Amino acid sequence: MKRNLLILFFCLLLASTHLSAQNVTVNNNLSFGTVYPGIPKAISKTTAGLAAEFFISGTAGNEVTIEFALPTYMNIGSSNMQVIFQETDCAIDTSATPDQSNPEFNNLDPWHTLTYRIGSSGLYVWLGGILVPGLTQSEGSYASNIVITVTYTGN
Amino acid sequence: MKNIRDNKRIISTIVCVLSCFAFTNVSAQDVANGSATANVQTALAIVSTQDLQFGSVFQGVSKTVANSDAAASGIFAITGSAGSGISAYMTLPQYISTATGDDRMNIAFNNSDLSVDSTSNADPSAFGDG
Repeated sequence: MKRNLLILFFCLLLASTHLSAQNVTVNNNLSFGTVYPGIPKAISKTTAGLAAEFFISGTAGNEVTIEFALPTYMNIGSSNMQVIFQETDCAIDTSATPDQSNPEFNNLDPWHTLTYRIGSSGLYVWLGGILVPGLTQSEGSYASNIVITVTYTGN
Repeated sequence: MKNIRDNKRIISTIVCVLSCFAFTNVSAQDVANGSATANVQTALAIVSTQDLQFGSVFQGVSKTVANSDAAASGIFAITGSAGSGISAYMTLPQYISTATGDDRMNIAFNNSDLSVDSTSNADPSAFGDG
């Protein structure tokens, strides 16, 4: 019985170790900063500090799918403000020396599932967007959620 | 017999756990919640609070209204987000005409005829003193 429990313990330890091997973290949120009513503002995916940056860690060489749940509006109370993500607003770098200003895979479509392999330095994802405040947009601090889901494909 | 039962139990336990492990390997998933943020500033607005008034004038006698004349100079008030830079352009007339347009007279704006006060207590007669 003790031997069984010991084996079960090590197996669970192994399994739990494997589960924690894959992780996605938010390094930077997409920040449009100060905007004015009636004046659209774009943040490029290659602008460090303003573009959203996500970091995926895991076993190098393993393939993952990346999916976004993107907002179409930012909100404050009952006020909405349109935010647009174009089909080239995403970039990925899986190289050993990730470079946001010159990413390995550029102009990717964040509206579709992206499939890449985790590199030796992990996998970086950058996301830009365009904000379109209306002419009579109410002042205030607007926000919306960007959800990223990363899944191992098993390949 | 007991050893065989024990071994079977061990094997089934391992198979069960490793099956879970294998399944995890395929479907392991992680989710992160980021955000998009923006700070919308107050919209720009401009209103004419006072017209440029020359009052009574006489034929052949020029009349000047200084930009420091609180009662007669043209005054525009611009509101918006404090601290934000703006640019302003004016389209100025070359003539003042009668309502019917039958007659008109020349009006000149010099390149020093404008003053701006961004203090909390704007006063044309005490420019910038706030």
